[in-house]
Amino acid sequence: MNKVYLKHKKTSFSKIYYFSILPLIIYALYKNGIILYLRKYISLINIFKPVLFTISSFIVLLIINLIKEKKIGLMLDDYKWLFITLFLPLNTNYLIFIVLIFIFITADKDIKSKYINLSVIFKLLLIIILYLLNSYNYQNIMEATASFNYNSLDLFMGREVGGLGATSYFYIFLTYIILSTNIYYKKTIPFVASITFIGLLIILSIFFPNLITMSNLGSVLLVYVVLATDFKYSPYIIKAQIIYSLLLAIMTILFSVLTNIYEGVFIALLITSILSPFLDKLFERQNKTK
Amino acid sequence: MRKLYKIKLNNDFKISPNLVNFLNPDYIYLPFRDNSLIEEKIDFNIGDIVTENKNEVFSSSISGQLKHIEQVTLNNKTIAALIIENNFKENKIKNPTKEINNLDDFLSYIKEDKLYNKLNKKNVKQIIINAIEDEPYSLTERFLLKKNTDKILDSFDFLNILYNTEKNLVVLKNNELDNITTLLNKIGTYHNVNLVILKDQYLIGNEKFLLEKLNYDHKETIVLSPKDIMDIINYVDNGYSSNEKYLTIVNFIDNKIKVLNVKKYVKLSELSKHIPYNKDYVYIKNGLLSGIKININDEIIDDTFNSIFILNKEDQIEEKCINCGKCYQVCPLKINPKYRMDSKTYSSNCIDCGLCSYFCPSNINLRKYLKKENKK
Repeated sequence: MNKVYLKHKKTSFSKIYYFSILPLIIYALYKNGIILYLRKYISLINIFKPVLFTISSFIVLLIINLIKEKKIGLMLDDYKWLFITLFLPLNTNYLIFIVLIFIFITADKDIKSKYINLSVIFKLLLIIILYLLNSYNYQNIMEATASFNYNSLDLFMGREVGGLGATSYFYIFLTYIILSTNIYYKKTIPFVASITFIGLLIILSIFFPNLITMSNLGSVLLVYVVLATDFKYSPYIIKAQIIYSLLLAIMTILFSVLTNIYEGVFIALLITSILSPFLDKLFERQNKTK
Repeated sequence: MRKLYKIKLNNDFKISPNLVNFLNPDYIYLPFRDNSLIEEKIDFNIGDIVTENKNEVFSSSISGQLKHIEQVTLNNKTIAALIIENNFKENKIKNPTKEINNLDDFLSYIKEDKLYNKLNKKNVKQIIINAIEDEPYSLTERFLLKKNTDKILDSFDFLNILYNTEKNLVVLKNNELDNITTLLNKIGTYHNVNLVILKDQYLIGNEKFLLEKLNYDHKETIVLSPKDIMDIINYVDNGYSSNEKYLTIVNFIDNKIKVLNVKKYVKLSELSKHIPYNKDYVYIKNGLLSGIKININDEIIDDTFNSIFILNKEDQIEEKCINCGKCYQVCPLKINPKYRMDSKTYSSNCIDCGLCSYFCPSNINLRKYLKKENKK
């Protein structure tokens, strides 16, 4: 059998994903750990609670890969399970999280379907459970008890209520830049989706200023950068990626902005993930004669 | 504009600057594909046409006696070959003198040569010497140009006069400093010859992509390699194409590259001094990206054999496709290898460049899904 005996070096594939998550984890540690400790809201050991979920997800991935794939380390499409932990509220019940992440990662390895985005379903299911248990709240203890007067720079750097690592626009942008250095990363998707979303937001706020309520822009941008670019659930043809990104941005406006559902961007991503294989098939047909 | 990519190479190779000659083989093996001898005789001279089929003539590269028929391999296919034993006298066929005064004379003279179809064009505006070798590490054309610069430039000038062309180019990659320096010193003597230096990109040497880059119409352009020019020189001077070949040997075991000058139709096993044999080595003909794996014991060196690569056997573990789409993005003809793999349909347009497999992060051998012959 004839094959290629020269390979493009992809040794930096893993390193780029680890580097890209680092700014967000460090900021999560700082905002929901170090600041709270310095202001005497939490004890020393609780500083590390924000990163507990990411580290736990990493360990679960290692265990499952060892059992199923007989390999030590992460597979190429495992990184979404690290990034999904950045969207969680600080007060997420750890036991529920561990059970659910174990079930969903195992299912993700076994289920071949490209239509059901399991990481999004995991997040939505976790939120529903927290809501039913009356512990659905993104505020940390300082945000819940004290009053704040955030300026634009505060918001830009992440001083707002939101998921663990999903509040800082600056670090999300940094994550995007780092990920874009990886040649396999689908950088078109966050670029088109973000520009479209922000553009539509501006247009709508000019014409319907009273209709627009937007409180989780950071989550939206982070979803575009890390979850919407998931290899399995996003299109691989560039033209299909552009249509996917436009649809994602429009649906985010619909579910997140116009209807003010905080998790609306996840619902939008769930729907566009179902459409993603059809978008690829549309352009594959054009290519059939080549 | 078509996007081409640079292939990153390991630069730790030691390249031998001298050409190594191996021009006295004991035997040569001429492919004998269910047809008869041109002439019923036993003694052959260099240049004698021994056998031919519809597309190719096989002329002897040595003088000697016909011995018997044996099975050899060519591109991994077992074929019959006529064996001629070398008498080491280097007797050549007698070539009658001819006059070439114009293009029609030239074309009628080379009518039997394999290059006739390439050269038989009217209204040619430019001729290009394409000295770019796309396959990484291969130095065959580079050495040919380096060792025969004057001959090649003189012949190029002669062709320019015959075809009455105004623009004539020698095209090189920007990393071929030795040839660039030599040509810059000599090219001034030739009025209509210019040097074009292109970026080191894989497939820029492909004729179609090269003409696109230079913005020339293929109907008005003749593209020749340094090897083609040498074949033309030989044909005009001697009445037969070159009986010798340059062969690059790239040894990944000791990180050395050398170029040999060998007689055509020699068995690779006769070059055991230069190509070490080990059952744990893998031998690839004509490139790491688009080449084929061969068995060196019975393989013969034909006209298409430009380079051989010696590697350690390594098991590349294929992982499942992650849907990154990189294979589709890098394909120069936008064939969509992933679609071909999923739908199990081959592509008739694929040029087997290997770029899709080169970039695949899952180590999938996409070549076997694109071309039926790669599956065997």
